[in-house]
Amino acid sequence: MNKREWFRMENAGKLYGSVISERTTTFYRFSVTLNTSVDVPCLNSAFELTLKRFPYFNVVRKKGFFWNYFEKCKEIRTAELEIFYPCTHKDKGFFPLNLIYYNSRISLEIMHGLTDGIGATTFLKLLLEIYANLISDFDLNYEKYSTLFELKIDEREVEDGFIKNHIKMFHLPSQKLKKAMHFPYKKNNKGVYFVTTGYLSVEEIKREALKYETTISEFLLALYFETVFDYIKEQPYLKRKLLTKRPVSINIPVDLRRFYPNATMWNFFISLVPTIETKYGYYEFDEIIDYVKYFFKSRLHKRFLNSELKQVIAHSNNIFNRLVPLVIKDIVLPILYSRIGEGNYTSGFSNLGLQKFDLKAEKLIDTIEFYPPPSDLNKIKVGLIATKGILAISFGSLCDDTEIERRFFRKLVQLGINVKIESNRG
Amino acid sequence: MSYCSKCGVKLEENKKFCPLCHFKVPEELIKETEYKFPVAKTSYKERVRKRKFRLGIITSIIFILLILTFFVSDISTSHQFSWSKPADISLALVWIGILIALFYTKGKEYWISTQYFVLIVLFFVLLDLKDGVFNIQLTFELTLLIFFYVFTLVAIYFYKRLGVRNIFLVGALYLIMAQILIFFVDVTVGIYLYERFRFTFSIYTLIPLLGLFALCLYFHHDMAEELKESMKKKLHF
Repeated sequence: MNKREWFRMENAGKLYGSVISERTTTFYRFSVTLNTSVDVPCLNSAFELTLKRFPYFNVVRKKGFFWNYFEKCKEIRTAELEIFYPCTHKDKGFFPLNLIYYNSRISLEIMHGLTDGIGATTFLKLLLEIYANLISDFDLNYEKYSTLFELKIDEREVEDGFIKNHIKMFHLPSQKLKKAMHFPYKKNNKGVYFVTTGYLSVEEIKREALKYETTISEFLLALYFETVFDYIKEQPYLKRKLLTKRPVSINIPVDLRRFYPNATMWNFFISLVPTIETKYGYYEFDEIIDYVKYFFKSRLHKRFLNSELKQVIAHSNNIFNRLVPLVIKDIVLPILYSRIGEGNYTSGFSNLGLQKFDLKAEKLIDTIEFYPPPSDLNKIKVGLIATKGILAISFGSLCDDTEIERRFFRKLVQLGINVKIESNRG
Repeated sequence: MSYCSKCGVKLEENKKFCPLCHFKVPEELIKETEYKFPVAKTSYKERVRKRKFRLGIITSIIFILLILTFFVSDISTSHQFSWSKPADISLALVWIGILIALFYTKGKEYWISTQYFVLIVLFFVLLDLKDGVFNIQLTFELTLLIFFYVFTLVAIYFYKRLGVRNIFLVGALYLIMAQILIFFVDVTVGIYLYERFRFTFSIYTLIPLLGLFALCLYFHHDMAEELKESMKKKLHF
């Protein structure tokens, strides 16, 4: 059992494995900016050792008759120099985990089919810890880590959290999502993905959030809602009419390990979708905050989460869905995913929270960013991550237009918060 | 550290423009520092190029085989290049048409239209010349073809000039052009068949097209509010 050659994809991974396209790549990225240039041989060794600790991430994606699966990678993986746009792929996700470097930046790109943000940050933290130690004393630490990590897989880390924790006879969610409003921006060419990151002090944003007696995440989500509403409000009559026909829904991934104690390193999250109808009129910021607070209070409860879990399981456990060959799934699932999946969201808002690194690694790190995965329908998505008191808010966009980002960051500046912007645009 | 005076945000020291509003940073504030992102490439273009190349080769093999099959069976049955002539000509031209569609993409719209126009003219001329005599009616077939070609060029020009932002205005212009085209075809057919200038079916298409044209203009002028206001201003008594 310890020398497993292949792995089943878990429930969410099965879906992500089949929906990959040129624009919906399902790859997300963590970028760490160091205060020195990257030492490539050390990074390669650190990568090798980290993959030794997590052998189930050292895989390639293969196609079976009914589902995709992961097979043990026989190649020696190394870090590659960054040449492409972030979160795009050159081999349709054959390698679901890639390590990239450029000047003083180390980036980890992961396909969502492999793991979620929590699995990825665990991998990244160990990688940086080993990298920092190898830089200080290569021979001693290489030996130490080589013996520390055995080629042994902890079965608890590769179990399907969805299957393990769902209740068989539970009810499905009663509320169905409506088709959401989408930004009417023209998409750029395929293979192009723009990211714009704003860095701000966690203290400053916390001060503002406390004024409304809310958390940073809820405060920023409310601000994002307000940005979208302001955008709609200022459109010409006809466009405004069309945009207000459908509600504004934002997809928020929630880590389930907080609610169901689980050591899985595969995907284990569900999506919550706060939805506000704009056809009834516009909302003041206080009202949005109240709604967001109430929404999380009511949804982050086991009763609701159990039904959502049941929903995830219901589709992939259905015997008819399982018996359809992968060739057909690869055609049908992307359509279903955009119609009843991403079609129900206006945008995405992922908060990875405050990340703490090993002491040695923390001294090396300047900033960390999280770039959300691009999506054909949700042209603009937001990713949040914080470390060392700096919060990085990254907008990933498939469009040339920067209106939403501009409005959002200008709002923060108007609140008296210092924002520093970085982008891969022009 | 440079700031964007429009957005009020700090910028990277090597940025020449604000990434949010494209406001130009004064040159004296720009410093050469380490770039965080490379000048990125897209892997997509390379993949598409390879795919098209493969498709081009497969299509070429299929068409060459088809042409040869017709040719050989014609020669073996009738001992001369006779009945397969039109089929071979059509296949060869369709093959060239597919190759044009595969290897000429964005930004060459005028050139592609011209190539297709030449191909279609060539198609008619070659089919006409299959018995060695040039019979084509310059007044009818070629005039219509030239008119279609000019019509396509003008349509491309309008779309490129006005873009997707003025889609209703482009629609309105296309409707006018469509009506002109219908008039032209009507008149040409009339002259060819009855040898006199007359309008027949084109009159009936005028009414719905005019209605649609007005609707497009109404939408273009951002509907109700602004248009109502300007109508009130212009027509009050």
